[in-house]
Amino acid sequence: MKRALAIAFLAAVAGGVIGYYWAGHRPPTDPESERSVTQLPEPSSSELAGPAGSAIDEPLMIALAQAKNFHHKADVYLREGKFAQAMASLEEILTIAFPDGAPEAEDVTLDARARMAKLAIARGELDRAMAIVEQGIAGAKRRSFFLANLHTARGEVYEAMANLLDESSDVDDGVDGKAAAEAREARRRAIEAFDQSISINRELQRALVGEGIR
Amino acid sequence: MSRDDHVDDLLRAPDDAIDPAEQARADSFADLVDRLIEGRDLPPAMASEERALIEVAGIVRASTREVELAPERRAAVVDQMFEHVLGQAGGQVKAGGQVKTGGPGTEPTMARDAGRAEPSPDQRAPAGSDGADSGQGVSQARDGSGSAQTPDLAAYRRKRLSTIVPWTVAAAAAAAALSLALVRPAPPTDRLRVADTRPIPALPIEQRSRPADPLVGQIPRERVGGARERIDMIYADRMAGFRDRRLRGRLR
Repeated sequence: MKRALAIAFLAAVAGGVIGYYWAGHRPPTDPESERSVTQLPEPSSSELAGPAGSAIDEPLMIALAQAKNFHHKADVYLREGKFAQAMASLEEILTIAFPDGAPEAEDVTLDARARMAKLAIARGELDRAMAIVEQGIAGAKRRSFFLANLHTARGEVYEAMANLLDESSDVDDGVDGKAAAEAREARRRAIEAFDQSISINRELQRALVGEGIR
Repeated sequence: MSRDDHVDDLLRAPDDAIDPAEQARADSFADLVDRLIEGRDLPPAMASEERALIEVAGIVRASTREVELAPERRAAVVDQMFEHVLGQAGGQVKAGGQVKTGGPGTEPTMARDAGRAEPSPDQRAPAGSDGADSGQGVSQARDGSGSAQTPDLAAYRRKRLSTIVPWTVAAAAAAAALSLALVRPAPPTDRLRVADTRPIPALPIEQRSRPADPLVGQIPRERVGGARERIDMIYADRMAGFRDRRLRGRLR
């Protein structure tokens, strides 16, 4: 009798467990599918300021924290006079994997390029500075204050080039006037770059004032 | 009483005077008839001729008036018949109407005349062995004429239930598990797809990933290389939105 009751009890428990795991228990879903439930509809926003993306989540915060740390790391290297290490630290920011579609990704990388360009200018590595700036401008997908800032950095690179050419033309003392001409051309391009930056800044300012700064 | 006495009685003329011996035999026979009518036990030892006369008297009495069994006796008879049917189903009853109680010498004979059970001397002793139910499978069914041992239906049913119920419960549990498995809800992917169709309340802009232009504003020329300060600002702002979203999510 007792053995039969024990068999029945065990069978009932086993049946319940099987039923629970087959019917009631949901297998864990991957984070991506869970996130899709809370996926936000694309909101209307300023075209210039760019659309807002999904909710702020851990991957975005991790990426921003990495960029922040690389900047501070570069600060430390610069205080110790280690320019190469500081540049290497800033270059790491360009390889950070931001969440797909996060507008902060472009802002952060453009700003890192602007800082790298400034450091290169300060070191007299104008060609390197120009390459950093040109790559950033070419890869930009929207007009932003950071893009405008990079145009400003580009203008500064041209300005530095012009100054350098002016110095060389003073040394040559107008043997053929080539250096002076290149200096003028560099200044012209610098002005174009600054104008481009100003144009972007004006557009953005108007857009932000028009819809209220958020 | 001897056979010669009966012969003498038969030879005696009807109008002859009754002698004391004949009167005594008549009283004795009348007493037996009374006991038969009242349903009491008959003496275990009787002459065969006398037992035949008593049986004839019982038949005559039964044929001349309707016999009503006592309620207890009627219940005992019904129980015996149930036991007979159930015992056959369980393989414990022989076709001859004898109920096996499990032990040697414990086979009560079911009397068929007037539904009366006549227990054998061995039956009067408790049933010797019946596994775990030793001594419980047979009970005393009493009527006005005495007691007869009949299988305890309650104990028998308990025994059958103890065998059937566990397997019934197990089968029911297995059936329930199988039915749950067959009618289980749709896979999680389907549920997610359904959830996607519902209107989702928009998060406030502060809790969403967005361009940092409104936060940073126009960058003056003297701050072109000030990316470290700006990343600190962006990080702090996004962290505030992230914490706000997390806290609100927990409070919901």
